[in-house]
Amino acid sequence: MLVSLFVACYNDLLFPQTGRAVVKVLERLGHTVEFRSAQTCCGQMHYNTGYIRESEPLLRRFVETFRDAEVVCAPSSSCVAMIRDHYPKLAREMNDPGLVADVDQLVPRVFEFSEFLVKKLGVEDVGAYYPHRVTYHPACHSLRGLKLGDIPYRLLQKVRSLQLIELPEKEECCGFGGTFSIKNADTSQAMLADKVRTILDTEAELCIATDNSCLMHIFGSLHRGRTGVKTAHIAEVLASTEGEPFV
Amino acid sequence: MSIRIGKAAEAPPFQEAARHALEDSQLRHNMRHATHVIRNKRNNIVGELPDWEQLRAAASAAKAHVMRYLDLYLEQFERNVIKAGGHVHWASDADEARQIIRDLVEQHGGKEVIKVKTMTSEEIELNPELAAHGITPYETDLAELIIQLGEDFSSHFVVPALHINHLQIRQIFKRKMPLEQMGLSDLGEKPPELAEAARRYLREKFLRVKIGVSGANFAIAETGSLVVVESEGNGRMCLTLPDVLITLVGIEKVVPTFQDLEVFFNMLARSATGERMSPYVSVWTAVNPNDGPKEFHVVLLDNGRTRVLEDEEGRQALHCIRCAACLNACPVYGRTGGHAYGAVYPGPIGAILMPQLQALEHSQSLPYASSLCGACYEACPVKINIPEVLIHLRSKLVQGKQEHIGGKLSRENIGMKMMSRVFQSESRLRRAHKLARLGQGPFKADGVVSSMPGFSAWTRSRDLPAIPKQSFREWWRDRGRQKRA
Amino acid sequence: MNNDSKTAILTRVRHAIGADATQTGRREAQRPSDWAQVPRQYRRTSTLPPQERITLLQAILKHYGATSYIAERNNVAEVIAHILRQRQKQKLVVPQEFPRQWIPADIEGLSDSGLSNEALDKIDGVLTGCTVAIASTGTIVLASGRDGRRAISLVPDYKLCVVRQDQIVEFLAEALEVLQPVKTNPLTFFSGPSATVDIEMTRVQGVHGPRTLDVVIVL
Repeated sequence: MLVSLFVACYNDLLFPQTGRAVVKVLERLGHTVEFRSAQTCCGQMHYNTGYIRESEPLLRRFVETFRDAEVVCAPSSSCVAMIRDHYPKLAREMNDPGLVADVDQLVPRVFEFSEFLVKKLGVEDVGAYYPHRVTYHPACHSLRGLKLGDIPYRLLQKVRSLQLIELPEKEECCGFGGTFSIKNADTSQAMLADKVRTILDTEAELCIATDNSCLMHIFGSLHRGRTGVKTAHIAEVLASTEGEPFV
Repeated sequence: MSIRIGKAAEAPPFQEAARHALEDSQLRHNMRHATHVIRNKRNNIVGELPDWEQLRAAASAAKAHVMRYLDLYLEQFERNVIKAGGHVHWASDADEARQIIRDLVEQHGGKEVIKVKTMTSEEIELNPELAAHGITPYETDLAELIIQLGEDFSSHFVVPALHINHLQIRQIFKRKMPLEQMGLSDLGEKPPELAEAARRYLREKFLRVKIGVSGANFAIAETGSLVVVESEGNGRMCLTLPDVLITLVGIEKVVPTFQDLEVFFNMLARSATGERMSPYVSVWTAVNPNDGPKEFHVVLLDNGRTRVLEDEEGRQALHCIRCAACLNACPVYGRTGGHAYGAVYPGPIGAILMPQLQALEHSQSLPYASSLCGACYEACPVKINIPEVLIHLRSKLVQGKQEHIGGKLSRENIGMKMMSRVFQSESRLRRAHKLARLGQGPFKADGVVSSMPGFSAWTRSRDLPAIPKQSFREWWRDRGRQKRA
Repeated sequence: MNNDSKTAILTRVRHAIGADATQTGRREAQRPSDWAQVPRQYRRTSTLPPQERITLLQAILKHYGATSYIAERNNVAEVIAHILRQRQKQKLVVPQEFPRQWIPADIEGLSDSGLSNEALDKIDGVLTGCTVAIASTGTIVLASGRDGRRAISLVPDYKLCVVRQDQIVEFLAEALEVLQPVKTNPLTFFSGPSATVDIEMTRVQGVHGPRTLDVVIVL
């Protein structure tokens, strides 16, 4: 399959290793990855903060960039939730019937990375090896938006030598919420403190998720607190092999 | 017509109020305990039903249907109340509602009223009005009694005293109740003892006071009936024993038929307190010659609800049945408590209802008091898409700001417009990447930024990962070059 | 009464939903079919046999802290007498509609002929039947005019309620259908004795209303 990667704006700049890991996994599974350099941002940050008009050109750009892609894969459940849950509505508000048709046809071809592997490719074992204690935080967009359910767990259970520890109170939001983490920094920090406490309780070495936005927030506290616990995107664990282990 | 609801206009912005609330460790503990208990009970009791999602679908559709025909249902309701011997009053706003109720009490020469908890009466600030005119209102809900005696404010609309623990309650009772006369001079601190104190204090009032004031959970158009759902029995006392009953109800509480209750009765108690049914549900239609009050008045309240109805996206907030499941599920409310919202309706539903009731003139910080996690939507029995309405209100607030020069020149507006421009061009994006990498240069150490001008809201408590030397697109371009070479 | 506000409110409502006053006739005609579009895929009809409905009702009543007993048609009065002796209740108020043959001989059954609140406050308890009982929620529904006026099941501290087997349904929807003929009578749905969770979420029994509830189920 020719997979068009939508790396997501923040991964592009801040977490390129996640994009590299996705490429590695997909190529290992025998697929070809393309990266259309015209891609920039899905517009979620603007949209969620109330800057709807400013997000409209970003919707257009996304559609123009990927209109003819066979399939689009993104290591970001928040971006895919934006596209799946809000693009159809936003396109209709833009009063452009051609755009609405394009969006309606494109949206079913856009997948978050873990659901792409399990639901589209039908694969749970990606040949990964990661001999460490890991805990998984279900990002709100993956849990309630995309309703990924047990998909990430099914992938992690096939990672050789990985010890997966259930995260207590896992469905609690980590407190990032985009601009919420700045506008309501105190409440955001209070939520983060509880999330970090539960992560430390698992005694895991690594906390993973389908979204680097949550992980950036969680890292912010795990590192500041000198806890020694690291964070990484699930793709990076899935890319890890004995020959090229994730460190 | 007034746009103010309670003290919302004077309340500090949520961010400020939350900061103080978060520092109150007693409150934090009370909130955590209370919300976790109700949440678990609710999840268990809802999990018992294999048809919960079907009930949600019905509830949501029924409420949307009512809104489409609200004028017709209100008129039908009025006709049926009058046919059954009751009186109907219409109040455009809080001032008018207070006036109507005060006039009714004064017409009957009443100096006291017994009240069954209704958030609507808090919304219109009825008690201070009555007190100012020599009428004593007695709250009879245990929680409202605690709030009234403690001169406090409700922080949750199902369990209003959730922010107070049993030791604090005992202190309030010792200060304000005539415990010796009641035979309870050595009042203990266990909940059953406190409940007994409340029972004795209130019982003589139930048997004596002639005018009752209530709200209603539902108003049935088909029959002109009203419904009150409760746990303690004080509602039944106030609805049955007085000579005159006055019921205040928001116009959005109308349901079409008696049969429609089969959906809502199944959902309200489960969502609100994690019980299959609340201990008592009372349904009554105006007056009955052999049973209950001789005179019945219902006051239909607008107070901004028609404003909410105008907004096609926002009007789903009127579907609310006041179960507070969203409050119990919310990670923000669960840490800050209700007072931080500065509003009679706090939590997720408050964040979408309060600004709309007040034409977005007040409670403007509330739509931002959310990380959009979606737990509220998941818990809502009538499927109000709270996150979607929050974003919608944010967009209205942003548009409002962009209409003034001050808003246009705000840092946030300029920043957002700039970023949108950057994201509309590949070359602008690459330049921005380089600038960001450069800009953060002096502040990074060991792959991390611990402090940077303009980022203190984050960095005062959290580290930031440093921007890597090579972006993903740069790596991809280099890889492509290597392959070709 | 205050027609100006009524007109103003209804005008605002119509404006908000984009309805014209001239369309009222047409909308009124459309209303019932629009209501009929509400999807009702939730459970509305029971498949539970009568015996299991009784078992379910008893289990939930027990969970609420109410005690239930089984009686045959021919020994109802005996069972009631036994319960009242144990509870040491002698003087009870009984609605006129309550079957005379079920009142035990040695009980002073006061007929409710408009007893004052003070009189009700001093009485030992109340004895009634019911109109319908809901097994899945442990609910007993009393309709004024059949099961006595509301005050008699409210002021006394003890309540004994007799439920016939054929009055027990499984679901709320079924109960509301049974209640259709009396839907404008004052109705009270009882689901366990009075309780509150207002003190730190601890469920405390008996604030107002009868603190003790006994139920006799007649086969």
